Amino acid sequence: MFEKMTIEDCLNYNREELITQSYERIRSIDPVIKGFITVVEKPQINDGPYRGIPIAIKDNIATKGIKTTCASKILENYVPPYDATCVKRLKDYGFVILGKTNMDEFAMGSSTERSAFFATRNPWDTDCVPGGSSGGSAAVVASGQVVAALGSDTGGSVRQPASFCGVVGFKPTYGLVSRYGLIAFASSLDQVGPITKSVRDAALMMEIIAGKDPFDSTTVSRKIDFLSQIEEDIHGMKFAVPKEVYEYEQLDGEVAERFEEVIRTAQKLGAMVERVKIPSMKYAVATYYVIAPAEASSNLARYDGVKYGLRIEETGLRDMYMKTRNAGFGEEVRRRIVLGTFTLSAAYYEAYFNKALKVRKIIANDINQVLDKFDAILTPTSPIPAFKVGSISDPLTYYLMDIFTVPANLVGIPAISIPFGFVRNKPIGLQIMGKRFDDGKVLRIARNFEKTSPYNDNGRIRLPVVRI
Amino acid sequence: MIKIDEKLIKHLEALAALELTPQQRKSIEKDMQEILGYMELLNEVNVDSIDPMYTPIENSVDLREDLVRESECVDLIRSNFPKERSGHIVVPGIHA
Repeated sequence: MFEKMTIEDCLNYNREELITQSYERIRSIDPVIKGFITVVEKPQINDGPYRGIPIAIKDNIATKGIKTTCASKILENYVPPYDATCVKRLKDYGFVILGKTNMDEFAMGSSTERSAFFATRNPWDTDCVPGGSSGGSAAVVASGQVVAALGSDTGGSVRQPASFCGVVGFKPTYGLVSRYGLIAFASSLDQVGPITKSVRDAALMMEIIAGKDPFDSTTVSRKIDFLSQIEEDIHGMKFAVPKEVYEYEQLDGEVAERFEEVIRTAQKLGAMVERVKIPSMKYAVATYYVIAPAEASSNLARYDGVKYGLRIEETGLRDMYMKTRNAGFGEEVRRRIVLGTFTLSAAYYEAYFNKALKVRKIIANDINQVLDKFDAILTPTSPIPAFKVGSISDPLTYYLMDIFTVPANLVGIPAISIPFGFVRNKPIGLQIMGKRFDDGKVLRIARNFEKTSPYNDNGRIRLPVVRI
Repeated sequence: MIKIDEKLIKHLEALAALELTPQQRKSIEKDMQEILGYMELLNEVNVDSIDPMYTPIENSVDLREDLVRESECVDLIRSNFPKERSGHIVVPGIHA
């Protein structure tokens, strides 16, 4: 059955049929899920080991000749003149891009409701959000429209939607995947990552997209082995569980119960689990929401109606900027630009932006110290399962949900979300964070949980039956 | 704790080249007050003798050589211009 197939399954399948089946699935399911902003009509098919395997790309990653909107009116008709490096690499290996997926505008959000175009639905329960901001990518993978997808993760935007949709989402170590062609949100936090139906598929995509790129000076030339040790056991490993997880007031009781099962599973696998205090974790959300909007306000200054994107014609240049930007950006984007402009402004820079950068350093020191003693840190990916579309409107409530995912971006470490059980019939995720460049180890730990989870069928994650 | 008012928001709009409607201004004023209220939390942290962390990258980065190269996609770049005249971008007057 195509909708359940992983990349590895596809390797032993008639490749000619894959694209046809993917299109059929998109035609029948996507009118309900609404995961795609653009479906490519005549896809480019290159030769390569993965020839003919259909994937989707989040709509903030540049695809040559294919509209890339960032789910924003300001880029509604933008057609990139080049491919992002990660896209180019996947195409060179034969992967076929069938579409561009919905997201929160400029990746600012955790529900995909903040797309300027429409909200995407969760395949497990179409009244619920798929998470965000890579909600379209997670939803089209979970509902079997494509085999895998790329997302981007600035504060949890790959992991949280993967958790809400019951698939695998991996945020690599900062610097492993080129950001060339990823539309910048917060450049010191952004990282592209795969969303897949198995841990092995995530590792396999990493083998292709990771690596030094002359067009992104922050990429590193270090060779990382993602796949060759993935099947090895984790006997004798030591995992830390932050006590702060239990102190978090909004932690759903049933999410906490599943997480206890995670700990028992880890022990069954021969690992040791210890609860540790990471006191600076409680400052992570406040730190993140100073730094990310500040970087965004600077990055989004380029949208001025001059060279590309939306322009509202006015008689003077400055009026054109002001009108274009107000018409082109949605509510959350405007809010973050104003907030970031404030924390970067001369009078408040020291008290907010510079202060947050110092707290970031403290959080990094604390987490790195824990990771010097432990192989990984385990937390739930999100304190809650998927919520109903339209049920949360207060921005701060949204921000606080990112509590478990933002630390990995602030520190630049690898983190994965894998499905581990269900709460009120909706999937929830386990997050595993590792040391910088320990991406291979994080994937290996995740693979062990995947093989052992009582909620998986012979080591394969369960996928939803979409009701149309 | 800082008080967010209309005057400050208008100043930020000018800095960000973003013109808000009165209603949007009101709503952002309220949200900013709430969000910055939450950020007061950071005042608990002692950051004396801590260096700011701008990026997770610890070593200096390699820059590519500054060479002129032919762009293959001039037409595609041009096709994104909002307004064009004989290969140039047209913008309204600066002093208008």
